[in-house]
Amino acid sequence: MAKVDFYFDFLSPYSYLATFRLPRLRAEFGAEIVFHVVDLEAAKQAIGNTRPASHLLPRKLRYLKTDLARWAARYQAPLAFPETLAHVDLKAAARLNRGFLYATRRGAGEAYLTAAFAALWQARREPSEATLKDVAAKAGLDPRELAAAADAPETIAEYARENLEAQARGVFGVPTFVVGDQLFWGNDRIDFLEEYLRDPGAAVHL
Amino acid sequence: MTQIHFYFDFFSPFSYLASLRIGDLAARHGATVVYHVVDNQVIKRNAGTTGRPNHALPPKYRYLRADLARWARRYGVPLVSPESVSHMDPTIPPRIGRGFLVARRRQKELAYLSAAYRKVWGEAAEMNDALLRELAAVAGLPAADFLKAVDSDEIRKEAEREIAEASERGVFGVPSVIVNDELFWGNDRLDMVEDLLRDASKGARA
Repeated sequence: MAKVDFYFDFLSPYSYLATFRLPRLRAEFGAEIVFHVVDLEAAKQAIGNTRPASHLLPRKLRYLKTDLARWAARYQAPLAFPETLAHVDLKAAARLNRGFLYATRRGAGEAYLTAAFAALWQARREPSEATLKDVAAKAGLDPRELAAAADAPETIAEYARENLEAQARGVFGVPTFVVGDQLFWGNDRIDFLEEYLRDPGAAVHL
Repeated sequence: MTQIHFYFDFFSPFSYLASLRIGDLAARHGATVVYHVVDNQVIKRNAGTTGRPNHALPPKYRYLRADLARWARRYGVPLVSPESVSHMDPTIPPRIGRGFLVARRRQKELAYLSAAYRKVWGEAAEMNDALLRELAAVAGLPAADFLKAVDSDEIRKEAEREIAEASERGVFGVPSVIVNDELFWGNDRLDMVEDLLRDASKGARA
C-alpha cells in the first residue's frame, strides 16, 4: 500500500476534478489516500507567488472555464462554474476547509469532502454559514456543532499546522499529490502519479 | 484541411517539448501546422499576468524541473535543466524568435525551429551571438545578412504583429494550440488536441 498525500482546497475546481481519480488510485494502484485540506492562497503567498489568480484575468478565465469543461467531460463529472469568483468570502471558504478537519475527527471526512465539493462545483453555492451547515448535514454531522468546531482554537491551530507542513513539503499549489519525496502538481499530473505508483523506478531525482 | 496553429517561444522548455510532438500529431490526422513564434513575456503581460517568474519561486521552480524531466523521459528526448538557460542576455531569445521569421521567408522554418530548439534545450547551447550565427547557416544566409534581417524594422514589425494577433486570439501563455477556434494551453493539453482532431475526422467520415 503506497501512502499518497492529497492536498486540496475546496475553492479549487481542479482539486474537485482530481477527486474523481481517487477510486482508481485506490483500486488499481493500492493507494492509501491521506487527505490534507490547505489554503491555496496561503501556499502561493508562502513562496512569493503574487501572480493574480487566473479567474481574475479575463483571457485566462475564459480558458479556465473551457479547460474545466473538457476535464469534466473526460471524467463524466458534473461541473458548474459560478457566475463569478471575484467576491468569494475567503473567511467563509477557510471555515469550510476547517470544517473538514472536524468532520475527519468524527470519521466523516470523505462524506464532508464530497458534500463540500458538490456544493461549490455542482450546485454553485458560495462558501457561507448556510453552505457550511448544509454540507455538515449532508455529511451526517450536527451543523451547529460543526460550525462551532470550525472556529475552535484547536481547529484553527490544526489548520495552520497542516498549511505549514504542506508548504514545508514543497506544496505550492493544489491539487498536489505527494508520495515519499515525489510531488505531482495538478489534476493533469495524475497520469505521472499513476506511472510512479506502478513503477517506483520512475522517480525523478534532481 | 484542418490547420493547427501552434504558438511557441524558444525560451520555453514546454514549447520545446510540444514542438517535438506537434508535427507527428498533425500528420496522424491529416492536419497542417501553422507555426507562430511569440515573445511569451509580452503575451503574458498582455493578458495581465504580473508577478515573479517561476525561476524566482524556488519550490515551484524545483518542481518544474522535476516535471520537465518526467516529460522528457516520456517523450524520450534530451532536455537540459532550465537553470542552464535562465540567466542570460534577455535580448537574445526575441532575436532567435525573429530569426525564425527570417527563416520562414526562405522556407527554412522547420529546419530552423528544430535546430534552434535542439541547440538551446537539447544541448544547452548558450543563447548568444554565436548561436545566432550558427542558426544563420540553417536559414541559408551569411551571418551578417541574417543578423541584419533579424534586426530590421520589417521583421520587428512582423514579430509584433504575430504577438498582437496571438493575444487577440486569446493566447496568454505558451505553448498554445488553436484548432477550429478552440484554444489549448500547454504541452500537457496535446492529448486533448488529439481527441479533438480524432472526433473531427470521425465527424467528417460520418
